[in-house]
Amino acid sequence: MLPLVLAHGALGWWDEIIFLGVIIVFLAIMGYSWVKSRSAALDADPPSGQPAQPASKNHAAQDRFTLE
Amino acid sequence: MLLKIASHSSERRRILRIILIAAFILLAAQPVKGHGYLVRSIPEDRAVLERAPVRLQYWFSEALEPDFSSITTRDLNGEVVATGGVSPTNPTLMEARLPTDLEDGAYINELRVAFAADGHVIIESRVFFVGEVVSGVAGLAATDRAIALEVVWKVLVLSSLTLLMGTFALYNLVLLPAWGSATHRAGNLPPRVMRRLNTIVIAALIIAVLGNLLALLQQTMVFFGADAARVLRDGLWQVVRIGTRFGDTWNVRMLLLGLAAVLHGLSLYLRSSQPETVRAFWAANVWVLALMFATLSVASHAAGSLLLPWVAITSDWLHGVAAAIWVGGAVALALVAPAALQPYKGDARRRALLAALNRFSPVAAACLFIVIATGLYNASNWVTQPADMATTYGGALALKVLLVLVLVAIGALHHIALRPARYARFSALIDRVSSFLPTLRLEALTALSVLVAAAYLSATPVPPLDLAGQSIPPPRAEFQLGDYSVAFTMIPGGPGVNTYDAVVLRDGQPANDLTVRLRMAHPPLDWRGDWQIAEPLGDGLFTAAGAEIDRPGPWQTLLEFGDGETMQRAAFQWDISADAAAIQSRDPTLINLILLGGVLAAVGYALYPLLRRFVRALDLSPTIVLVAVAALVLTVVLVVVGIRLTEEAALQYERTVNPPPAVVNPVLPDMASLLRGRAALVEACGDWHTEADWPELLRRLPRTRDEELFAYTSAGWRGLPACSPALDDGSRWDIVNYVRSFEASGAAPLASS
Repeated sequence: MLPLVLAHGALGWWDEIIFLGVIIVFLAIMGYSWVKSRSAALDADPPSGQPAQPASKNHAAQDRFTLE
Repeated sequence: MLLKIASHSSERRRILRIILIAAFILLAAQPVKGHGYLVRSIPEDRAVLERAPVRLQYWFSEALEPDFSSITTRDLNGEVVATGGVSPTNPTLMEARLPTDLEDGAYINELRVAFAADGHVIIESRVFFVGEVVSGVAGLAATDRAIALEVVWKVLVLSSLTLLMGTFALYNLVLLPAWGSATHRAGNLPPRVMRRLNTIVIAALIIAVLGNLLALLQQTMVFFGADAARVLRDGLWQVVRIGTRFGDTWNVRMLLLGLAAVLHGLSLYLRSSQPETVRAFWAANVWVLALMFATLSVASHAAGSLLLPWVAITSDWLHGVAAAIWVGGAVALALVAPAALQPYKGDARRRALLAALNRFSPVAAACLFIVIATGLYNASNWVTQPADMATTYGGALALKVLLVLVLVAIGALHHIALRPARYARFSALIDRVSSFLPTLRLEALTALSVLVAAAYLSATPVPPLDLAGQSIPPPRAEFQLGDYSVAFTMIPGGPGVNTYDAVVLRDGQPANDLTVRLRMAHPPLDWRGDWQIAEPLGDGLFTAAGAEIDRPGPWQTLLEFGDGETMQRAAFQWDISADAAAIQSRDPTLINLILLGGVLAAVGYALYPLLRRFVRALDLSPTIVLVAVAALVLTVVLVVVGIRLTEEAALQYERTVNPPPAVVNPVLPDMASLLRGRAALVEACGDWHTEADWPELLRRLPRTRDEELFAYTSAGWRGLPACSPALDDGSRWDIVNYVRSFEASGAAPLASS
């Protein structure tokens, strides 16, 4: 029989399986996000110091400003 | 000169802020009690008992730490008369066995209760009287313990983890999309911004580690009642670290902190040789931090919720993560903005800041909805009536809500200022906050206050629930048979696990040399449990435990005692009440369900952009949608029908295996009934004992029901003749009880006489 890992049995078997399951899922997502972020492209990359669409007054134009 | 004055003024403001935060922490360092609470106690505090109880039992709402929880019972002279601790079979139960020869008087039970989930220790005393009340004796409520150190470490841990989560989330969700550029290879942000972000992360990691070390120190001091010097000198912290549930969550949190530090260290180490990995490490750390908040949730109020504990823990975790992204993000933005905007002036500076704020605004709004929805649901676990708001917990909750409202107001101000065209009527207001940075700093400061309030709330005891049946005394009965007197107590005496205590005295002296066995019976279903041997504990006390009682209603206890060859029988009739059970869970109310629906809606709102992207990627042609909907409906129908069928089959199985009898045995099978039954069997039934089929009947007894035996007295069975038609029903049931008494393994009460 495997030893209880957490809480010395205070959580009970099923609860501990849930807890450890959540940890494994999160670490898996962490690994996935690491791999995905490595190769992900940024949004439109306008010339340095310029907004993406300087002439536009729409909202999209106001949420991008490439820092020098 | 001017510069010097400005510098002094800035320094004074900084000192003032530090003083404000310190004052808040000290204000929060009020005496507190544990998160858990007593749900049932036997005997009740200040109970006046005719005779001394056999044992003390206290059920709590949460599991306890066995090594650090204890009961000590003293008489009025201070002499220890009994000690006890956590039940080996039930971590939420503390019990102590009392000697059976307690004299009349007042007794004080000192409880030291260490809750496993949060490590809180409460010390309180409760009183019971044997005989009559002794005036001037009273128990003490849970000792208020000054735990400034606990609030300090909670503020440190909560604020540092919040800042870490907020910084990592801000980088990925706001700064990269708003300011990122592939020209900056390491992290896609200018080096000055990355330097500032790295400084924030490293500082927060150091504070988190220090806060955690302080947590272990403080927890060990509380568990052992020792000062810091002794904890460190004797290595007591190791005992807590490896031997308690608090230590488990502490270990996991430190491991995750280590993982976050390693990932961040790698991002720094590889920024020159593999700059493209920097961003990846920052993305990975978002998930590590999210997981770290789970270690706080499993040690929070939520872990002790009687209502759907895992839902409560999940809701608490969502609350923590959303608050961290919102509050931590705002603080991180306020800290990083000066460095990021440093080269810009005028309109360019404003546009750069607006770009980040416009990205942060929807993230903060989604988090805010989740914080509000989960906050309401979490509060509904504990605040169940208006009076609860008048408790310390209610006050702490109100304080936190007030500060959150201030934060929401500042956020709303930013929201309005970011959309001047839409909110033109507030132009005066918009002009006042147009530079954003001062209000962003105010938001950060308020956010810190919210974190302190959250730490205070998490260290504040929840209002105990008003559970029905808390004052129902345990069923107790006495029986006198010749030289023997038997006192039987069933604790707590409701459906569920019960402890059975029998005190057997012979000529007034403890009869320790006996064999005692007992079984439970439920006449309405003609059901009897197995015989179990009671364990002798000395002083004439014999004890056993079982979960035979699974429903309220009439139940019987059959208790036999003797030297193994000659047994005596005592029988007790109970009317079991559902309220007498020690409640360990409660069902959700309509309000709980509505608020849970609110949580799901808020999470749905936050995930909507992701869901929309997912939906857009789907093939939504009518045929596909129709098939998908049909499959979904079919699955739901199959699941519902399957559950119903399973329930029905289980019910049917129970009815088949154990159907309610056509006639219920109304006679308590005590010694008198057995004697009457034996006499009637001999006189009116031709003495079945001498018949050849008697042994066969006894062999079949375990699978023969009372109603069948009753029928045999009228119609006979095999070679056993029918009893006289003149025999009344009461006598026939006596015969049934007598025959049934042979079912025990070993001697039957009247077998040898």
